[in-house]
Amino acid sequence: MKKYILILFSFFTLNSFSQFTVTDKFDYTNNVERRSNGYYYKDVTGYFNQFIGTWQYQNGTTTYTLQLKKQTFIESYPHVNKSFQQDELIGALKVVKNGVLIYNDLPTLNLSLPGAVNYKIFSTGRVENFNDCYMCTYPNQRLHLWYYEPNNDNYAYSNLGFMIHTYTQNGVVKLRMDFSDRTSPSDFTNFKDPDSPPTKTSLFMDFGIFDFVKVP
Amino acid sequence: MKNGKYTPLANQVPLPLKTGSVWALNIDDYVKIAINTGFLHTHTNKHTIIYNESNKETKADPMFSHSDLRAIFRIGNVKSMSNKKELYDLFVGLMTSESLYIVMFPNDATKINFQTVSNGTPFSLYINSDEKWIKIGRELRDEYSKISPSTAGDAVKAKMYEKALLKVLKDNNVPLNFYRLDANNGQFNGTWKLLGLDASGNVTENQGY
Repeated sequence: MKKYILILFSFFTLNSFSQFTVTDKFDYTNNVERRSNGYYYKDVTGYFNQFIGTWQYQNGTTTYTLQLKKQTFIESYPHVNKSFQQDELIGALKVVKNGVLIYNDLPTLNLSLPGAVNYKIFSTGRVENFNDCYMCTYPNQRLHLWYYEPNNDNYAYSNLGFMIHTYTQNGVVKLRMDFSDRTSPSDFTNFKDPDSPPTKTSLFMDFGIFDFVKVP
Repeated sequence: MKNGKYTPLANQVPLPLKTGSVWALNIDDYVKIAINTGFLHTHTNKHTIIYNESNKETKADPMFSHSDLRAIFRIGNVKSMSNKKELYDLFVGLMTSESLYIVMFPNDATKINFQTVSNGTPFSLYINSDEKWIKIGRELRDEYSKISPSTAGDAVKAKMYEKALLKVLKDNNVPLNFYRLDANNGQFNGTWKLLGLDASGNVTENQGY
């Protein structure tokens, strides 16, 4: 009987682990196409790990709390018989301005949502350092994350994102967020109703460059 | 390319730049005008670092972005009947060093029957759902991130970009026909090809358009 249980257990174990072929999510030189059926695009080197945790930026009475978490998602496209796994960095934000809480998305991180895009902050890919990556020491050090706020109807806020990277200053690890304003006044249109102005005309989080420190 | 034939362009107007940008086009004021049914554009040189509105460095991919794809839906999203546009008239084009690409809705697509060509997704969802385009944008970015740093030649990379776009269109039920006219050393004198994916995920080319 024990033998049968062992065989059964082995079958399920092997089956669940052999379903996806592991490949390095950040290896841009191998021949594995992105988003291919049967692959697990894994954060093999642990690049995401440096970002995991709760980070805080404070300036006077303004406080941004950023939580980041690494999670594995299965992405399924049944109509084309495609399924693969990906490690992603997802996040949530809490904003306090003038001492008043104006936005708190942190509880979302405790939800089990089906995909990374269901969170308000999620990773898209690593970014070249170019010449403007502050204190960067290795290639493609920055991570780009998509950021969006709820109830948006403003086309200008449809493509928001920021870059993050960590660096050490005076023995303190900091996370730099580069949330630059890429919106144009031309983009302030209501994408749901082109004949009406957008109802959302400002963001909870301001544009800018913010240095966060880790908090317990 | 309405019903497989060329239709002449009218009212050709240069698109202005976005406020504050030296390279990004402003299409927003033009997509809802009745006479405008589409636009052709280029992306900036794929090898050249450009500076966005925030003076940040970036590079453009020589393939449609999710904003380009979203634009064709926005062109069709007019409220007043006087500005009514037929979906099969709409187009968005992109000229690259290798080809001229066009995306169009299928000839038989209307807003009423849209779900029959989109695997059940109504036209309104493509208009109202930021999340849908964020997902598409993320997937395109993921696909292009692998192609962009490749050391392959431009012609080979162009094929990779075509496949990447087709995959994302298919995965997300975006019912756009994707056409290519080869540059042919700048003459653009060949025939249009309708690109697609076969069951194995290989790119197919139907000629004669």
